[in-house]
Amino acid sequence: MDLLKGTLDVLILRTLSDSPSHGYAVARAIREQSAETLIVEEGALYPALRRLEKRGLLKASWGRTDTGREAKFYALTAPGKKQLKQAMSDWDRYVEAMGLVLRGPQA
Amino acid sequence: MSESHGRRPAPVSTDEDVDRELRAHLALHAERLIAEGVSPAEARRKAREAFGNFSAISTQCRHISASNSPWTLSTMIDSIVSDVRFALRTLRRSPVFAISAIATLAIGIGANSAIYSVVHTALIRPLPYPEADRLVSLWERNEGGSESAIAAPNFFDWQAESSSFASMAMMSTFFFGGRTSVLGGEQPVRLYVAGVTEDFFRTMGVMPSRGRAFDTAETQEGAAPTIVVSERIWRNLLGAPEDLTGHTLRVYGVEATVIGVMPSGFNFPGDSDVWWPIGLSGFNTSRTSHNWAAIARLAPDVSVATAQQELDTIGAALKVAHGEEIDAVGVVVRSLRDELVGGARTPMILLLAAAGLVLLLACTNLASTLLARGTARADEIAVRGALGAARGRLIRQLFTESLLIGGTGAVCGLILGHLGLTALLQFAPGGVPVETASVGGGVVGFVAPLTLLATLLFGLVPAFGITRGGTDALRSGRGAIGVGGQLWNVLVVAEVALAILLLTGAGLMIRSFWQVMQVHTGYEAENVLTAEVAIPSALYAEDGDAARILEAMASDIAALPGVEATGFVNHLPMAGLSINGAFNVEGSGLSNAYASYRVTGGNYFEAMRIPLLEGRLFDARDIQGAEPVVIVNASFAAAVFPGESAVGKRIGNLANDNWIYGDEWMRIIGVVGDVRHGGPERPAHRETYVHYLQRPYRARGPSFAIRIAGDPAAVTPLIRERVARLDDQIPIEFKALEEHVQAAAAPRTFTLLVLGVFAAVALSLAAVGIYGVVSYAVARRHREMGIRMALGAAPRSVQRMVIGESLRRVGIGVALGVGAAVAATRLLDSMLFEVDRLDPVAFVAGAVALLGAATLASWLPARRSARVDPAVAIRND
Repeated sequence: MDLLKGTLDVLILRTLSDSPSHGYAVARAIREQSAETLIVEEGALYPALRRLEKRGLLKASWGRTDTGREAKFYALTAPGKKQLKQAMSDWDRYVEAMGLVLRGPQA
Repeated sequence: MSESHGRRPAPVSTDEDVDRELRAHLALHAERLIAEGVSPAEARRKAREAFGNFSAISTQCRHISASNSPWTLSTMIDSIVSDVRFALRTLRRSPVFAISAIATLAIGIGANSAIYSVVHTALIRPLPYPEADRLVSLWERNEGGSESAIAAPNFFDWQAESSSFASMAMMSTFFFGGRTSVLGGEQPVRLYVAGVTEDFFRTMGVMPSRGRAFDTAETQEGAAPTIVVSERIWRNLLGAPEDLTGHTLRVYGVEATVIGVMPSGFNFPGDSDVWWPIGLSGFNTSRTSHNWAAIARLAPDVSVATAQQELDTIGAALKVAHGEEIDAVGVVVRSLRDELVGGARTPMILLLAAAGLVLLLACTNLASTLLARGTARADEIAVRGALGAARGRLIRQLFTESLLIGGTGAVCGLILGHLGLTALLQFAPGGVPVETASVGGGVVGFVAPLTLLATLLFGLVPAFGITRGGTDALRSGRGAIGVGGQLWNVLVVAEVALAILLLTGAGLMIRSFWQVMQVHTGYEAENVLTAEVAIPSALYAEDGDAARILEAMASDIAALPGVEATGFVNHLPMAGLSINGAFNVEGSGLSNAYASYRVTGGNYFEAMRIPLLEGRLFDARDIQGAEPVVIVNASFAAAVFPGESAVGKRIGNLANDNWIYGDEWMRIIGVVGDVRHGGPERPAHRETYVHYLQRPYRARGPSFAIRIAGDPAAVTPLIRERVARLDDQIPIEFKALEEHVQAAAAPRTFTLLVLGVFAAVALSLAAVGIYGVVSYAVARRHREMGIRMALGAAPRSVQRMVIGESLRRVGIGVALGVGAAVAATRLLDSMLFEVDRLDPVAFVAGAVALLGAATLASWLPARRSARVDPAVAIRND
């Protein structure tokens, strides 16, 4: 499934809300948690990370992975957490609204 | 959703670590693959392959980092490029939408730019002469308001007594003769030779580009003949000599010295190639000999009305002074543009209006298409909005998409317009100065912005819906979808109404055309070949010589196999030329009435199948020296001799021929049927025919009418050979008589053709619009259909419901369109021929055509609603 631009941002924020992580891990996590349905391309991921960092929703720092490799780790900032909370509640409302329409008036 | 997040931590990332990060990604991916058992080399290759375009991603990331100052040129270009790329991708995913939107725009812009170019050139753009708005044409006005050519003495009096003009000149009218043989090149050619007075070039404001214009001495009676020639004659006939010295051409039987060459493109009046000083042969001193046209240049700051007033005063004084010797009662002053455009103005404005309607329809169609698309994308846009895509960004993307469609459509439209214009000019009836029309800046400035505006406006409607509704739209789940509903119905109604307007107009024109084609012209054009010849006065100076060669030609042609009858006339019907003259009736004094005057020879009436009603036709008795005779038409006989026979009566002074043949009476020997000489739409006038042997002066450029049994193409070379055997210096041109009829109907055919194409375009645009709206309605109500069918509705009744709802909207549109047409056909009234402007056939046919197309356009998508599987529809929407 294609990912819509707006949805990638919120998926990244959600993935990073558990623990700081690097780009490769974020991509894998989204892929695995969506049961291979949502595939994030690098061409979208890294610019998105940059953008989120620039908007102050993420902070970045260089570190080492468990296997000792160099990687850049991203973590949510306070505005990032707030943004995630807002987006998730919007999403719930959206799903609920869609559900109401799609299921139609209850008999 | 709030964009403020308080103080932002300074980003750690720098340009330098972009590549480092991306390389780390590759390393991590490869590591993972190695862990899964892939060889290290293979793993690195696979990781790189899975990764997109490394350098592109890297550049994109850098740009994001660099855009700390958000409006640098590079970020702006970057974001525009990415918007365009995004738009292209979206459009490529829905090619039907993209193509139909672009095609709609292209048709709207194309039709308008082509028509507007013609109208602009003919009605708006200055004529190609310096300060052309000061140029006027002058005519005499007769009792009863009709106009006629000018008698020379009157012109000289106007010139002497008026002060409204900077300069004025007389010239040939081309109503009194066609082309003339000009000898001197490789072969004899027939050209328009314009006789002009000395001030002609100064009045036009255009002087010879090579050589010089006539001086005063050269325009005096008896001066040595000199001529000025067109650039194309200088090039093609003279061989483009640098020095004109020694170059002569034979015109009107005399050797004339070429003294000047006009600039390329100057061929006024008409399509002239040679200018000749008319003063050479002196001027007829009669004030009732109407021989000339006149062109004048208004003095600075003098209006047409002022000049008109002054000449009216002078003209009235002349009438008082000369009484019976002058028949003009006033002067007509008309701007040269009006003179040239004449009757073409109304059709042109009509076609411009029709093109405007097409554009309006195209915009409406585009609006509904974009709206439909916006609705289909409402979910996508709503989700993206909710998930934080910036509002501005969304609008910008929709804007880019619309701009892309609008831009492509405009470019295609201008190309289409250029092609359309080429076709238009091909078919445009002559006389209107549009040869140089082109799709220029004026058109781009007129049509393109309008259409772009429409595209952008409607392209952005879905975005406004989103931004206005915000997340409320999501909460209701209908917000964005609801935006279009009402507007949509309005658009369909508007489309239908516009299409009805155009269809009704086209219907009325078709009905008129049909009526014109039914008119009995008074002769039978089928199977008649015409051959236009010119007897060069250089070779046949005496009228008697000219008559003899004509007689020989007539009898030689008549003897050819396949020729049933042949004769000739100085001016064929519907060829645009006619001589008029006042006539006297013996015993009743000056009748002061006009009749047309034609010179015939051979078996002209038999060849044309003009019926003899009374008396006899010309025969061997009617030769020079015998009693002068004349044949009149039925209208003449009825008007001049009501209640009695015209045969045997005598008339005289026709077309002022008394100054050539003396004041002698002509006996009426026969009455023939009326012929519509002025074209199928002009009723026949009073007409007289004389025999060429008795009036040879006017028979030097006759047209033969040759009735042929079988294929004219087989006879043409035989005729050419016979004529060449008699004299190979006589030029000859063939044409089917029906071509003259078609040429006479050309303006109407042209208007009909363009209007018909517009109506067809309108009909298909409306059908496409309806199809789109119904399709989207069906898609949107998929679930509802499913429920209805689950509850027991027959597929057919669901289908009927969909079609019914669509046709209700169409019905409103038809009603409005018919109402508008009732008002608008007033504009058409002057162009209709024996058809009422509220002709029920045209109105009903238009409505039926549209309802048919609308039913089809509704039925196609409605079929889909009937095929809905209730279970699937309810589960999935």
